[in-house]
Amino acid sequence: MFHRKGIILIFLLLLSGLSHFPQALAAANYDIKQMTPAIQQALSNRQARYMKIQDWKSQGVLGENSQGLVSMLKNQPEAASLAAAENRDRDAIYQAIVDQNGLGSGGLSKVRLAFSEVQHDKARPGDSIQLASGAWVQK
Amino acid sequence: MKQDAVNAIRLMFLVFFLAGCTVKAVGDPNRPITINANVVVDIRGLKNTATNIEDMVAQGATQPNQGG
Repeated sequence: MFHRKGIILIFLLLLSGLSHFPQALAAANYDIKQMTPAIQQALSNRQARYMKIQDWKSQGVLGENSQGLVSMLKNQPEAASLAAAENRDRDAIYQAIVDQNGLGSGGLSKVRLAFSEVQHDKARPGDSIQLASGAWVQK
Repeated sequence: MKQDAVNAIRLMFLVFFLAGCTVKAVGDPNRPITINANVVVDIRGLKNTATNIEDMVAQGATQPNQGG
């Protein structure tokens, strides 16, 4: 038979454990907590060039790589400058998420991975995407 | 009676420990304790953030040559 103190102790242990349980189930929330002018500019720039990026992707000139960036797949100077600017803006956004959410030194690679998975999900049929293995495939 | 009080204090410390309370270390300031924090990043949460941002970019996209 359990001693009364033992039952209370077990109850308290369960209670302290349960307090952490919802945190384990819910996805963590990472946001751009402070919309600085630099981040706002990066987002506006991306919106402004979005259609052109889509055009180059549908022509097979650009593809979404496995690092959350766009890569050149064919030599095209106009697309190259567009891709460089796009990647600068993406990096600014990724770094802001890392900094503002305290994700630490390994956070940037995780953010890049998450974005690349979403960009691959959103890629249209026929667009080129780079797998984690490094191989390029058409979606 | 005294033993009950001691047990109660022990129990309280145990509960605080398991509940994740902050523990303040006191030591020599010339020999600081280095704690390598292991930041756990939830990839699901990051993917939600990435989805929101990519949706915002796509939805706010401006048409090229719009209006002339």
